[in-house]
Amino acid sequence: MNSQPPNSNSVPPPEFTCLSLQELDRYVNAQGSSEWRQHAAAHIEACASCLAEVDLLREFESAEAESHEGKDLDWVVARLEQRWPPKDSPVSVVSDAGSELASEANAVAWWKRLFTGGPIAPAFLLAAVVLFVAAGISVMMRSSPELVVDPDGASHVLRSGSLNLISPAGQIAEVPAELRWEPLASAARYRVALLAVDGSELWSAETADDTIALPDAQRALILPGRTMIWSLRAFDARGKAISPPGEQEFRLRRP
Amino acid sequence: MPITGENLTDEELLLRHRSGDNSGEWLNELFRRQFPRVALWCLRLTGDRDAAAEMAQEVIVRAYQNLDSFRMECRFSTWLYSIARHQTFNRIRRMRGRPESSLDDLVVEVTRSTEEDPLEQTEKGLVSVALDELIASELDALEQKVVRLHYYEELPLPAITRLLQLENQSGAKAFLVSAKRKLQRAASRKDARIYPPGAGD
Repeated sequence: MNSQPPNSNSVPPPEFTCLSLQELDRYVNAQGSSEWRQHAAAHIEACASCLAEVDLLREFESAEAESHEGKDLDWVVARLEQRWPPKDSPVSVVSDAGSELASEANAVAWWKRLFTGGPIAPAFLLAAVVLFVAAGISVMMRSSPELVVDPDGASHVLRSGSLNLISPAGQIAEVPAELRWEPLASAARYRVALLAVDGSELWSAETADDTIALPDAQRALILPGRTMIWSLRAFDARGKAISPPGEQEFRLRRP
Repeated sequence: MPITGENLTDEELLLRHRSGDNSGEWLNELFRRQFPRVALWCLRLTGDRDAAAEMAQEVIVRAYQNLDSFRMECRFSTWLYSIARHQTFNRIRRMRGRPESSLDDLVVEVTRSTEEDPLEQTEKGLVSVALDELIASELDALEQKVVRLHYYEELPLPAITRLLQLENQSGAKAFLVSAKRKLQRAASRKDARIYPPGAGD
């Protein structure tokens, strides 16, 4: 954001840009010079996006629960306490393909041990059937959707529509040299971006191909253990978006 | 007075952790402080405590795993907010599947009162620019937020109602209806004189 005086119109001049995360932080926490704050306030007043971000950040930081939320809030916090600290490779549906597969394998092995041999096995089997049916009924009655687990663990497409983001995906052994996706017949060009874990954009580019090389500067940002995200959006010849944006997570394995 | 985690700011806790003190005390205090924030955020987005617990756990784990990438260019809570926002909004979109409305829908609705074919306007790329200006100049703060979250972030209306703690009967929907009406009136007043920046002066 530049430091020119605020425009007298309600719409900011084209050279004003939206607040970065650091600027948002500075504004919400009453930091920065008075001149900067005046310019920021003028921009926020005229920008629906920044206005929303400021309020959402304030809401997040204040964490003031209404009286009717207290009980559920305490319950969720208690669950987080129970699961703290997380393991190095936590079971998360959208992060670590390797550990998900390992966890799934261990769970299967544990069940197998119960069902092999002896008179106890049929009793366990019956109990398992009862539990399974009860769980199924519970799932159907719940109002919220279940977590969706990618069974093959090869890719965790967060939101793609018809886009298929091929690589990099999940746990990777080497820093990728390129980003690759399945082409769409009606696409004339694609916009691809590399994002940090907090969603901030590190780099973006456009291409008409179904692959794009990662510049060395961006490859240097891909460090072991750090979750990265790349996003893709397709456009037709007129420049109109023909797909919702797709995102794919990946993480370079620690040595 | 002995220094305990409770006496330190988030950033001071993190610095002590990074300085080589691996007792875990500082990191435990840092993250435990964030549990209510993340939990309340997820509870409001989902409206369900089970889903909120799963979602909040993912956010905490994500921050924990990627703590090294936090360079203290902002407060820790702000960094955590950006992770929570990105991850939870994506998760909500995934859970919902196909969006209820798209930005293109809003563009068509706003410009249908003008003489020019709204689809032609959309294809020319002119209307998207004008729409941002209309939103900023015609809507009040709350309407702007609802429009932003519904059409740009593609969040469902019930989630927006909870997130913004709207207490009116129809929640976010009422503000959306009001906003669309104002935008249509404004677009009609301008009589489709919608130009890209710099043109038409």
